[in-house]
Amino acid sequence: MKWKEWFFQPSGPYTEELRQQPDRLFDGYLPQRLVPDQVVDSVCGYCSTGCSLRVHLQHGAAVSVTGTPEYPVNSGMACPKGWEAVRVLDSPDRATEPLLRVGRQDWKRLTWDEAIAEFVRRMRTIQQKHGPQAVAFLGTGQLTTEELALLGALAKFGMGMLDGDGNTRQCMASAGGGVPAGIRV
Amino acid sequence: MKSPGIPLTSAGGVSSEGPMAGHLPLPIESKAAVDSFVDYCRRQSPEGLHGRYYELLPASPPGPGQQYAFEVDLDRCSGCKSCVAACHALNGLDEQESWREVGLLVGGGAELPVLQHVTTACHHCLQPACQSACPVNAYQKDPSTGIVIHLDDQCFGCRYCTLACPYDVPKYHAAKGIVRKCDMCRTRLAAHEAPACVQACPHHAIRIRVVETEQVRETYETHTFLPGAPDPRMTEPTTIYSTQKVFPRNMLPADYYHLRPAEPHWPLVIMLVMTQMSVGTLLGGQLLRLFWGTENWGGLAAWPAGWSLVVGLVALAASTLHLGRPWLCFRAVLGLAHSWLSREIVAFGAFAALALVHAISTWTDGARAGGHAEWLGRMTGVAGALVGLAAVVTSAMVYAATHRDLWKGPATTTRFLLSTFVLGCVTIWWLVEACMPTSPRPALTVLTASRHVLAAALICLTCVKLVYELSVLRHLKQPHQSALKRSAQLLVGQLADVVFVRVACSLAGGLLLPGLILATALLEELGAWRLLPVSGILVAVVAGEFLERYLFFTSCIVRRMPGAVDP
Repeated sequence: MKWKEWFFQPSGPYTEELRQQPDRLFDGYLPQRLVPDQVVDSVCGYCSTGCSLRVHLQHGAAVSVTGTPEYPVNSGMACPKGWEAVRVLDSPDRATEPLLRVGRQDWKRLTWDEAIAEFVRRMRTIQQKHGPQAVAFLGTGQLTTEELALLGALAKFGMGMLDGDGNTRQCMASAGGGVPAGIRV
Repeated sequence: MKSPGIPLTSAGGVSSEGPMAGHLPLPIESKAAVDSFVDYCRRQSPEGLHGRYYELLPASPPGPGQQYAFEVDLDRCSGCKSCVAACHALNGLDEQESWREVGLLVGGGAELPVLQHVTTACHHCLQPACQSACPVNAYQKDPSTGIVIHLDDQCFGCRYCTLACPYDVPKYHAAKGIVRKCDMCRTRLAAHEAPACVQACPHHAIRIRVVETEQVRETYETHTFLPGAPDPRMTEPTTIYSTQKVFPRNMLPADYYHLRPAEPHWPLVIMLVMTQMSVGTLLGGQLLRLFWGTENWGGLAAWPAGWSLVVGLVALAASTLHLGRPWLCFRAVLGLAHSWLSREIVAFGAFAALALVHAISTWTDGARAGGHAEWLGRMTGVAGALVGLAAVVTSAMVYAATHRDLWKGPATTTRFLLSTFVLGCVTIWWLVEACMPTSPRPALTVLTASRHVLAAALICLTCVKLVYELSVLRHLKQPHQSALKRSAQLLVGQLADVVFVRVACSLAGGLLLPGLILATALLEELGAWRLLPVSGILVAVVAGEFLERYLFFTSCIVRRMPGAVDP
């Protein structure tokens, strides 16, 4: 640093950190450390609106998300949960591989083939013993419409189940937090 | 950035060249119906996001007498906080860091309750308090756009701007040791791209306008900015809050009745008490010399000088601990023209220099009268006392300049000067008692007499100071929720324990014990042990002053835009 800059430093590392530059993939300005080398358009998994989110990737890892501008559902916008949609990837609780419970608190790691084989074996055993409608499925709001349609087809047409439900019915987590805060006087 | 009319691929598939390069390509066979629909929409609106927010930006940049300003359409703000999330995401802010906030106004009655969400970031004021407060000139108001820019690398993290801003806008980043704030995405604006919050709002509630400076000024003659927000005449914020509806007259922030003690700023508490003790000791030493003359001093002249110097230097060192980046502390003199913090630092610097010369000349000279050292000692003593008192006044002005009700100029100056006198009095008394054994016999009668004067002075000063401090409690009777009433409520509420200990210390050390000593012959009876109660007095009074200064910070209400409901 030049001696004058010890007294007055209009720019430097902190300013550089936030300085924005034009980015082609986002089609807008971004700070250097957020510039993606690849983007992929995906659908938000939070609610049934299904906004398209443009996931910004650096070396294959998702760093940030913006709304997909041309998608007619959200026209480039997102709600706050959508803006933070990739934060769940950082969660230490996030499931990344199949685990089989072997004790009260013990888990055994499986490959996907082993997991599917075990699942099929146990399901078939129950259905053979108690009938195909003895098992049901519990889905989630974090599925796209296509995935939920596939789940229904697999469970009902494929496996002969009758009953199914989703945590969507009970889980109103954001509304449960936001609504009282918004209307409590 | 991207002008309308760039041709997209006509086949409907995503290309790996051209504007869509980098988007992962999809083979045509696997496209779902929705993807075809998306491609159709892309072809219909090639300008993408920019087409959507063109109307939210001004057509041309500001001219002379104009600047950019936020305009918030309150009828469109739903309180969804997309603006907050987008600002965080597109600016790359750190965890828990937020430059934009959403608050709530509530009003009306049981038949028609009214809720109004309010989104707020920096108001890029015409008279930015942050800029005038900053001791290192880390704030600049861009002459062409009017945006108030914070120079992150110039900042040394003193946080004075966080006290000065009436809207609580600058936010301290503890890990970096600097303050950061909204800059209206000025790089984006310069490229005719909308700021992050403007882009993100699903209801188009936030837009950028070009405003006339004079018109902004004129608006504030009527004091209207936003219900529940601080008085706009202080800094002249440029944000426009517009609505077609008429608010009920009882619209108040959702957190209006919420009380929370403010941050204590411990390094500042320590610095203020110790600088005032240092000045008080030097002043007390000079007064003692004035009344009793040099020939009665013995070794007593040197001790107040030495004590004053050591305490003063420790205080200044402690104050650098308040900085996020203490190694840049020398930059503090840059803001002398406008910042009271710069002036305080320069004043105490001058005081420290005088105290140093005074201490050296008094120590080397000892009890000998005459000679250059004695003359120098006297001059620096008088000058030091006067400069010290002026420095204490600049300390008070640092807080008065924030225009917070509890920190108004006359009240704070009185408080700080009373501290100076109380601490000086008790310190001089302790030094007098400590030096008595080594003093020559003729001095003893004088010193014993001065003990009575000092004890009486301490009692008077303590009474005056306690009454003055506790007089803020009279605001509890006020019918409306003024800032002073809130401070009083904190003092009898969440801070009541601290107030109790503070008053107990002052009563014990400043009233009861000195009273006992005056009324009885306690100290004479104790003989060699007499330093014990006097030390107890010193400790109690100093502890009381530290707690008083703690309350000075924690009971001061933070002004801000309307906040959210207390979680």
